[in-house]
Amino acid sequence: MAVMQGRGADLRDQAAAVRRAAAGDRDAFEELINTYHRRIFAMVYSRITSRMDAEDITQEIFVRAFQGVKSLRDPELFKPWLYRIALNAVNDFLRKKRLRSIFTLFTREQDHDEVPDPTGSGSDYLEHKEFWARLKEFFSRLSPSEREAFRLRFLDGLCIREIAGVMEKNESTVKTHLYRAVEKFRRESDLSGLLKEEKA
Amino acid sequence: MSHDRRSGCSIGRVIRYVVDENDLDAEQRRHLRECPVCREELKRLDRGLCRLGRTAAEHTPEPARRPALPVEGRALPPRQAPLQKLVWGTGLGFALVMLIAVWAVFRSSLFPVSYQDVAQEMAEDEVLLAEVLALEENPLPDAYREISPEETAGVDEELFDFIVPVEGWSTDQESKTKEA
Repeated sequence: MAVMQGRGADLRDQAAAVRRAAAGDRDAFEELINTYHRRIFAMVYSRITSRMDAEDITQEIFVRAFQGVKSLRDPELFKPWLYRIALNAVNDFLRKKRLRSIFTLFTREQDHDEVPDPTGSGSDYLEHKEFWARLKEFFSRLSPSEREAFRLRFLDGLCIREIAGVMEKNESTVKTHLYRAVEKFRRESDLSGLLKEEKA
Repeated sequence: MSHDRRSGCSIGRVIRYVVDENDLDAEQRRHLRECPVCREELKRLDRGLCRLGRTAAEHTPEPARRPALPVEGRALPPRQAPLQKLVWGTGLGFALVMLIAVWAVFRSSLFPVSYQDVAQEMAEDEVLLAEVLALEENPLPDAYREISPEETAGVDEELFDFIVPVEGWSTDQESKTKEA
């Protein structure tokens, strides 16, 4: 009960910050950046698996949000609205990347994510690469809507209502997509070896 | 699957509960709580999804920089600039290809050939054909024509054979006589 009350208070604070940001208060928008920066970065990274590109896209998302916050009618819907901007930005990036790949067919571009993180060990890097590759393989077996609903729910931690807002679909449609995606996940045995056990 | 053999057990119900627990009525929720098979299946699926989220978070690096808001009063760069460049580049390339194609197709109608040019080309062709025919008649250069057979056509070859007998003539004659 206390958690619920705390959450409600957080949402009210956030809605107040959104109202102030919409009125032109930059500090209020900085607060919103503090709240969502890491979450949005993680959301973008899980879709493109390139740190440098994810940082650039995250920057672009917050600039777009800053420009458009005045037009947001309901401050309570800031979170799905921000994720919607993020999803559009990711889709734009992937579309441009596909278009670029047509022109650079013979001059194979080195992806940023192929550069290992100097702080991690070689085995960590391989494990990291294998995890995202296997996850990508699993996602390739889902339809685009199933994939998006699944990612937003189980990787980004959004609730059904928020997912419906992000995907611009009604809640029962989102549930159907999730149901099918979870059913496929249940049958999937390839991923289980890569998932980390809960720490005691 | 043993799960499906028990009465009241359904994997679909377990998945529906995972997606949204409010989707099940009180009776169905009670079954999930009490049935050991369903409970185990629910636990397994829930754990798998939690582990997926956690592992993904562990494999996500920390962002190196915080997003910065544009400086007040400074105009923001147009968002679609790189895409616009690409579109312009593609458009210009396409226009160039179309121009070449139009040039190739309508070249003759844009720049018609005059009858004088055609007549001149025909005359040149005739001269060339005459040269080819002359060469076909006698391909030797002028200097060699004096010793060619055409120039000594009037000489009696039998007289030559009488004055200078051809080697092997006698043997040929003998063999012909024998055959006869």
